[in-house]
Amino acid sequence: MTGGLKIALLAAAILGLAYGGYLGHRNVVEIGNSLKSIQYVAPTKVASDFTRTQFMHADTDHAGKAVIMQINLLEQLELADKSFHADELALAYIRLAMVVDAAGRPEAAQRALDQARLRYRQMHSRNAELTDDELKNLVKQSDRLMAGL
Amino acid sequence: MKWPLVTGFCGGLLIFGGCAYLGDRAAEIVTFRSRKPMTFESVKKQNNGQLRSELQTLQAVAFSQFSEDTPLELQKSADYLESIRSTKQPELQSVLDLQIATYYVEMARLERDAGDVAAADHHRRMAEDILHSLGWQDVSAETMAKLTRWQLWRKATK
Repeated sequence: MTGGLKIALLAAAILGLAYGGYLGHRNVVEIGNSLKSIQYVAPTKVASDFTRTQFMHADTDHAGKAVIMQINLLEQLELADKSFHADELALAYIRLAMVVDAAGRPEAAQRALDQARLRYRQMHSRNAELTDDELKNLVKQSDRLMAGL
Repeated sequence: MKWPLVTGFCGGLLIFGGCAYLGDRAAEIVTFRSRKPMTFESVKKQNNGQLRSELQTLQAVAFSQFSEDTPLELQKSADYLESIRSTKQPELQSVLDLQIATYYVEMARLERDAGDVAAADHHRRMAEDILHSLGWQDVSAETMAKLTRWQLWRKATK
């Protein structure tokens, strides 16, 4: 084998490694970015399912704890990662309002509804402002829809 | 001996292809390990890692739902969730408890269908106890069956 051929083969090996390395790195970065954007889907869905189930079947004390757990989780996530949008917070605050209202705390219920309205407005800026009853109906409709599936 | 030009070119091409494959695999492994997607790296400093721990626990619950629909596999999933339960905060323990109860309800259904009434009753009672501890008033068979509807729907659409 001539010296020139050896150099050519060595260059082919180096170029191959560099090209393959670039492709592999780029693929994983793309997949990683996709995974990063969906990484919160599963945990937030588990929290949401838990809250909905407890809201539908448990007493007000346990249902309230479940809702607060979900709200805390979503709010912390929103603070920690700006790419995360806590769209479910509106429903969670409405549930909280309904739970504390059932527990005989109308003022706390009103504060929770105000929070829900604020969140809802952020999500649907073009919609007209919803009344308290319309907000509560959102939860009822959502639960009926899930129960009917 | 002097190689013909074509043989040298083909050899170079083969070496390029082989090295490109090796480089691709190596870069994938190194990059994946360094970036660690799906491990909630971006929130690891929040609340001294508590948020990340909560997310990992909830993710474990989500992943456990992919177990096969057999009493043995459901028991394994329930045992796993039970094993991680003691180290979690009370709110997360409730999430784990509800999922464990769901597995027991599903196990009871499968065991009843298989004619194993004793095991079905045992697991139904375990589910009832857990659900009572979660503040449920109504633990009738009809209400408990609603817990597993989602699991059945998900598996039916697989």
